[in-house]
Amino acid sequence: MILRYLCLALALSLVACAHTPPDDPADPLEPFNRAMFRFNRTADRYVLRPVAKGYGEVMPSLAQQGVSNFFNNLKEPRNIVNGLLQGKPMQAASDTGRFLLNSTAGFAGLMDVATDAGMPRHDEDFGQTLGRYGVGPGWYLMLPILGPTTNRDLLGRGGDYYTGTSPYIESEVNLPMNALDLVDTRSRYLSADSLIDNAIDPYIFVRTAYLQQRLGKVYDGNPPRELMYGDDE
Amino acid sequence: MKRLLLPLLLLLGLGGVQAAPLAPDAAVKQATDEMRDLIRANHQAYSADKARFYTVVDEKLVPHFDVRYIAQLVLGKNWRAASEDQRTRFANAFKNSLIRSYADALLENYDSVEAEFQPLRLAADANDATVRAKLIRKSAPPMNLAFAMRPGSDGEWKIYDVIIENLSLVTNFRSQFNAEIKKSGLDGLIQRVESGSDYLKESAKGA
Repeated sequence: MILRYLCLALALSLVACAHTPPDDPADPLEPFNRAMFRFNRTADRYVLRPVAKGYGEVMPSLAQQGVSNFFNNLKEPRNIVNGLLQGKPMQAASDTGRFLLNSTAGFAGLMDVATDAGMPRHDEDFGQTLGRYGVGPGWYLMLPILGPTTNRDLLGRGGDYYTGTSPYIESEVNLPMNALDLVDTRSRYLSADSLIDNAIDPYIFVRTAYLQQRLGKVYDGNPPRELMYGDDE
Repeated sequence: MKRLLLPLLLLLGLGGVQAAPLAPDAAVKQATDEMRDLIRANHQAYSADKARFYTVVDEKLVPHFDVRYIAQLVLGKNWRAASEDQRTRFANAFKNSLIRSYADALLENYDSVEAEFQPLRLAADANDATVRAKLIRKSAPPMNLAFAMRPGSDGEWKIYDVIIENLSLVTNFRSQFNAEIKKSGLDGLIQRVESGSDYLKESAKGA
């Protein structure tokens, strides 16, 4: 517990509100990050990728969709809370409707009936909320196993802990659930492997892609020009 | 002088009405429709003769892109330090390698995707526009697509970036090329792009 607060305090002090374009971020820990990236890629090659591949082959696609829907449904509280924090009450109301409808008529979230009922899925988290209030990404970080993040998004993860399932569910249930979520997510990104493998510099490719993805999400797909391209005119 | 200028301006203005540039979204739609009709009519010929297809793409599709501005954005801060010769060579090589890589994907997928354009609202004096579309694919979830556009030197709206699910073509190439320039200099990068390396082809496959 103390460790978590220490991490939060550290992350807070590190979030220096630096607004850097995705192609030229603050990456002072690059040597460390590159070592972690190599480690993660090796772990992925020998453990996660084969498991995700097997999962994709064994699971019928309908069941796979069910698993994805189930985990997406559990993320609705996070979407609702952060939608409200970002001043989007209509979206939060729609997401509440989604959560109620999918949890009941959608068989505990296995089916996404809400999308067909005119309530599309949103994706909000605390890192995006911080970004919305002007907090820049700060440093780019590559964490072991957890993958790419930034000072801001690391802090966001701390906030998301409370809107996730972990504080409310026994860890004997929660751990295997998180593992399944990870495998399911990974299986959906298998087609991106050749992109990363064939990049001039895979580390930079992943860094740029992650930071662009986050920038796009903070501004709901409409990031300000100067944050996207920098000021190189 | 003033008396001469007014009719002249009127004349130019009237001429301008007839050849008014298309709205940004209409320009993209027209370009994609035209390209698709061409491929539909000549699919076999194009598949057999790739060089010919690349020429068609260069003549019909490329004019809708602001090639020089794209090159400038992609080189970022390296553009300022580049000589005019380097700029031209890079813009040309980059354009050609993009055609080589993306034209094949175009030829393969022209009939399996459908673009649904979102309505665009634009101020009359706007000099920057983002045209958004949803790419509907068979047996895959839809993708969000956006074209960043601005008026070119001929007054027509030109595309200067393509953004797929938040990932910008310009930004991706800029970070990759920046790393290459740091390693082997701008001339090294230009040579690599001119030689038509395969990494471009791979990124086209993923897109």
